[in-house]
Amino acid sequence: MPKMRKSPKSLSKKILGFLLPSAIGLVLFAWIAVPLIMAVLWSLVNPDYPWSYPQLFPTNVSLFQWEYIFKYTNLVQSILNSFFIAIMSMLVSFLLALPTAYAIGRRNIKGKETLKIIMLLPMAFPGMVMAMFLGRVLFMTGLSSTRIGIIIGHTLVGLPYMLRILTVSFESMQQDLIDAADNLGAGAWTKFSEIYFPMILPGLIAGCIFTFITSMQEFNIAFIVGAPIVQTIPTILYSYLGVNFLRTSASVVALILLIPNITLLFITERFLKTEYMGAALGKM
Amino acid sequence: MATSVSVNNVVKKFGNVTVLKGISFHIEPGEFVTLLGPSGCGKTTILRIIAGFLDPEEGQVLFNDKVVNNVKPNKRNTAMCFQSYALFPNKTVYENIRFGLRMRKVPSDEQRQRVENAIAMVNLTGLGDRKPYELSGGQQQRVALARAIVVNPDILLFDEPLSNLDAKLRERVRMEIREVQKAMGITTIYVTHDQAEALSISDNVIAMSNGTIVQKASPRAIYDYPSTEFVADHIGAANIIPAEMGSAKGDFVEVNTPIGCLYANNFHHIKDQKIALCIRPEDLHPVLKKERMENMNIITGKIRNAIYMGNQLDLFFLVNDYLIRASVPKDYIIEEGATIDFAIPRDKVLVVGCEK
Repeated sequence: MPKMRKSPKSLSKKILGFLLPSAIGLVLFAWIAVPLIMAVLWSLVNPDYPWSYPQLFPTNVSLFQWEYIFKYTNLVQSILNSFFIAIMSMLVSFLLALPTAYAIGRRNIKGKETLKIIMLLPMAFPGMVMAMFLGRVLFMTGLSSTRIGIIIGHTLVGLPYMLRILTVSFESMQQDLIDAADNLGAGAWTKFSEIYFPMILPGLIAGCIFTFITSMQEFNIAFIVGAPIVQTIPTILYSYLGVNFLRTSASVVALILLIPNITLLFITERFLKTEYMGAALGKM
Repeated sequence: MATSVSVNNVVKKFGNVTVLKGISFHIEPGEFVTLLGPSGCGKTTILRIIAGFLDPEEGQVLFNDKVVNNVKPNKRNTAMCFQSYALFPNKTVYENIRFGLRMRKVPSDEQRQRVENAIAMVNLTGLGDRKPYELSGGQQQRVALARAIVVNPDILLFDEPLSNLDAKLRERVRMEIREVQKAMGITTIYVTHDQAEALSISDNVIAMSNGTIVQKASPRAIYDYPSTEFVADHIGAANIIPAEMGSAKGDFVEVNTPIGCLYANNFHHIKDQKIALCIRPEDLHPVLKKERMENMNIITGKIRNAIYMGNQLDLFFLVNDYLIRASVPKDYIIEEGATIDFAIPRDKVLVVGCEK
């Protein structure tokens, strides 16, 4: 008799324990993989043998699109531009955010909560609106069509993320740790390099990834401030999405745009699994 | 060699709240002093002021008669053990203990030697390469202790270091702390809310309440002769009975209480009219009826609860609606409902100050 009672329970357990996760996994896989596979396929279509409705896969595969893009656009230069701008705006937001986040996270400042909200306001602003007005300002200061102009714009967009994450990192640090370092004779530099820095490192990496990826993918500011003289990967990508919609070329650029993002995600994975997380989440 | 610590009239405010209302005390070189009091009484605040993490609004802190108010915490050569242990999570046990030596620019050979000695001293040999989160609570506390003593501090500070450990372990680490402190002769200030801990570990106990010092005395003196109702109630068990001062009778004073007129010991020469009496439960001795002894107060009660505790028998009885507790040796057999006479030596009925 107990066996009889057991079977429906184990069946429902089986469903919950196996079928449900695999179903979710399948959906997620489809979500990520289908667009990716489509992009790869589209980027390999040979223009002499167009890929059209009844065919499930392209009948002829070639690297023509890739060669075309690299030959007839400034893609190499724009990749360099994108990386340069992304790294610079990441560094600038880090340097600006570090002291600010420290002050908000660790000092008693009047109106701290208001400051935190103001910090996040740029995120609520529509990108194109911001880009247009910023473009005007940069034009007046002569920074239009320069990489510095785009770096300034991208720093403005990325800074709120960096500030928010670093502020939380600083806030969540135990005062006892800093007191202990102080108590054992540590000076200001040692306290920063050996106590603060390792403790905010996970947050710092997350913030850097956010600002980097935001900059790599940002179109509005890059387009209004930079185009057509300074081009980034997204401005080239978007040029294929306009009136002359070229799915094949767009696929190539999109795939190129994916490379730094995926690399970064793997780096984050590695870093966020280090012992600091273990220390933060592990047993006390 | 060892350092004395003086605190002169220290006042500390957090916003509108005055946490320390003019605290003064002196600690002799090599003395082990416990600050004892309920949470919120300001005991941790005074410790943090001595360490230099907080600045007092008024008053002075002196090490060896030198004012250290303007000395930065990293230059005071104190060493603190935190309630949270505050071990650096990204450093190994060895690196944690070595930190203070590195800051003091001790030569590296000597560093290794001293860290290894400290690790051996706290029984952590072989665990030097572990990270703090790989250790148990007791082990983490020992690392914190080693990290503090390895720098040869002038003053050791403890902020409720054992409150996260279980009872058995607490007793053991407590003994270890005391042994290490005695061996090194370091002036030590220890903050706790645990009265048993305070009595068992220290040379002197400072009882604090509400930002003021109520009494400073040796463990024996503070238990036997508490000066106020508060101290009597917080250190050990006590029957606190409100009373009115009567006239002096030889070595004793006559006091009127709800449980009758008693002869009491006015050890602290309290002159107030309104006072309280402190009677320790173990000072009530059951006696046979009509037995009358010299220098004894006799009270009679009907036993309401007799609770066998293993090491003793606790009796609760009412005298004129006042619940009195007596602890008698475990071999007594006393039934609930029995009417018993208790004798209390006159010198054990202590006049203590009333809470205002």
